[in-house]
Amino acid sequence: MTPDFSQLIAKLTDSGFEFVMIGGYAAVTHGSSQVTRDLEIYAVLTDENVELLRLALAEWNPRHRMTPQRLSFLKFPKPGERVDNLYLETYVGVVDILTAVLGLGDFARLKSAAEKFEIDGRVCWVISLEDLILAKEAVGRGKDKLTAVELRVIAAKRKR
Amino acid sequence: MGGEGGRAVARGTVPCKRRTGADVVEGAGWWMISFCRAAQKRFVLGMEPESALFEEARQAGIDLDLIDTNLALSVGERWRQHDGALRFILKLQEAKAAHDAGLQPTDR
Repeated sequence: MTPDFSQLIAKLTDSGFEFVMIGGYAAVTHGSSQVTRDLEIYAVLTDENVELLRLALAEWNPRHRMTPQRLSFLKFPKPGERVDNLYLETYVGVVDILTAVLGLGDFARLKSAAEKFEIDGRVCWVISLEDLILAKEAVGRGKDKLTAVELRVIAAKRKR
Repeated sequence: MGGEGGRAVARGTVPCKRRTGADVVEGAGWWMISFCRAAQKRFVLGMEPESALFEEARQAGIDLDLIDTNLALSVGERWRQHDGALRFILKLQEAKAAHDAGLQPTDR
């Protein structure tokens, strides 16, 4: 696997798949110096959205990384089958699609507060700095708490 | 400091009558420590919230200069820099795996 998250995000935005970037890459986008290995996005996984995602990722052999057999995302879930979260690996990187984020409410609320960023010519919605801090603090693991402190510093510097 | 003649003597106080030079120095030491601690507490409590936050970040090991550097970059540049770091980490991991498998010579 050769990570190329810029290509991944470009493909996702071009596909029309509606999402908000969250997690480590959102932190990097806001100015964090942490290094992360997966792209986490928040979305509503309707049948239509799952199909858009399949089309977008098809050329990179997307597989369910949490299944022992590494099932193909191109075959599972079957149409109409309900899915909560997707944890995928592709040739260009790991992408996790979540339908709930601890303490942040639903997708509509998260997107209404999200910020628009241009990344390599593509406009992308990214979780707001304030929501990201809340999310990191809500998760409460050591590394998330540390990231929350860093993000609070970034928020303070942005207010200057 | 301990008790004197069975009477407990509070830390930082020295009975006046039998005070020796050493007692005076020790007593002054405790007074200085107490003063410094109080001053430090006042300094921390009196900090602007932003300064206190930056101090918390520094103590947690966060490089504030690196944040300034990142904020001066465009988002695209932040991503490129991040992905470059990630690729380098993966290369190091591959090197370690090759080393562990005996595929690389070692200095030992």
